[in-house]
Parts: sequence; C-alpha cells; structure tokens
Amino acid sequence: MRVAFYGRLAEAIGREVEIDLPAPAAVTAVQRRLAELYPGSGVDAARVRTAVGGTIVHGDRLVQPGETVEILAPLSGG
Amino acid sequence: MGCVVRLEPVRLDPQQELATAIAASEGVGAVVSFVGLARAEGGQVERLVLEHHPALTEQSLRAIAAEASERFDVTHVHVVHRCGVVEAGEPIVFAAAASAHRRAAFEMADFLMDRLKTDAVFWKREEGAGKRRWIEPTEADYAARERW
Repeated sequence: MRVAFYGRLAEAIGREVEIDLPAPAAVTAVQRRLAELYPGSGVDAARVRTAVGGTIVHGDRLVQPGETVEILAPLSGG
Repeated sequence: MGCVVRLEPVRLDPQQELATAIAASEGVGAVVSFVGLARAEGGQVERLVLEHHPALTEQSLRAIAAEASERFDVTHVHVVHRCGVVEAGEPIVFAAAASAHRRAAFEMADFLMDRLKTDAVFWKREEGAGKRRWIEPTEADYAARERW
C-alpha cells in the first residue's frame, strides 16, 4: 500500500513509502502499521490527519487497492 | 457576492490584489485589506517554505472564504495565499473584504485571518542561520480562532 506524507512527517519518514499492508484495509489499520514501522516519528501524534482521494477521512474508511493514503502532519496554518 | 480565492506559487502583489478587490467591490462604501509578511526575526529567518497539498489547500481556503461570506454582510471576499518559498519580508497572504459599511468589512477581514492562521492547509518551516524550524499555530492563534 502506498503512503504519502506531508509536513514534518515527510522530513522524518520520506515523501512516499510502500508498506506491507494489503488493501482493502481500514485507515485505523494503516495508522497502526505506520506507528509500528516508524516509532518516534510523530506519525501517531494527536493532530495528525489522514486523507484519501483528496478528502480527509476517519479511521473506519476502507482503503481500496490502488488508493494512496496521505498522512498529514499537524497543520502550520497560513 | 463576489469571491476570489487563489493559491499563488510565485509572487503576491498586494497592490495589484487590492486594486482588483476594489474594482470588484461594485462601488460599495468600504474595502478592508490585510497583508501578512514573512518576518525576518531579526535576521534569523531568511525564508519561509510553505508546503501545500494539491487539493486540500485550495479547498481549505475556499471553505474559509465561504464561511466568512455566510457570517458577514459583505459583497466581495478576496483571499490570495502564497505557497512555495517566500523570502523574508515578502508578502505571504492578502485578505480583503468589501461591504456597504466598514464594520462588516473590518470584522470579516479579522475573521479571515484568524481562520487562515489555524485552518488553512499548509505546513510551514522557517529557514535561516543554518537552521530549519517547523511552525505550528500558537496558543494565541487557537484562542483567536475561538473568538468567533
């Protein structure tokens, strides 16, 4: 599954990675796997949000094959 | 109700944007504008780098402008925000509101900036003096948002 990162998370982990989690998978499962793979990176911090297909999603959203999960670091604002 | 919302990757010209906002205001009595600049912090900051999302950033700017339009009695809202590299001293954001009377225009411009500071989808970092620092909204920014 392809995962892209924004903000300080991209600096810590990389702009985009491929993780060993088959789709379909719930966003919560993706978040758990990322926390396991990248401990201490901040990927599971409180204000981190997830987007799929250009939309912010919640943990119960199923990620389908071919979709990219986007992990958004806490916003800086404008 | 007129609305201009734009993400600007290269250069923001506040004078040009203000001229456009005034022209679009259709002869109302008040246009209030705000320009945010990249602070140099006593020479410690050489530039800001504003990372954006290809879809969510512009969506967030439009959502903020739409909310402002619903709350205030204005005829035109105008928001232009830089992305990419902004050198210290350069303009980052232009926000303007036009209204028949000044009170609504002042309040809308104030609201726009309070919302932009916390809700606009950007990731900013300061660079300079050999250092990089990611920026997050301050407690004062969150408190300002809650005023509304």
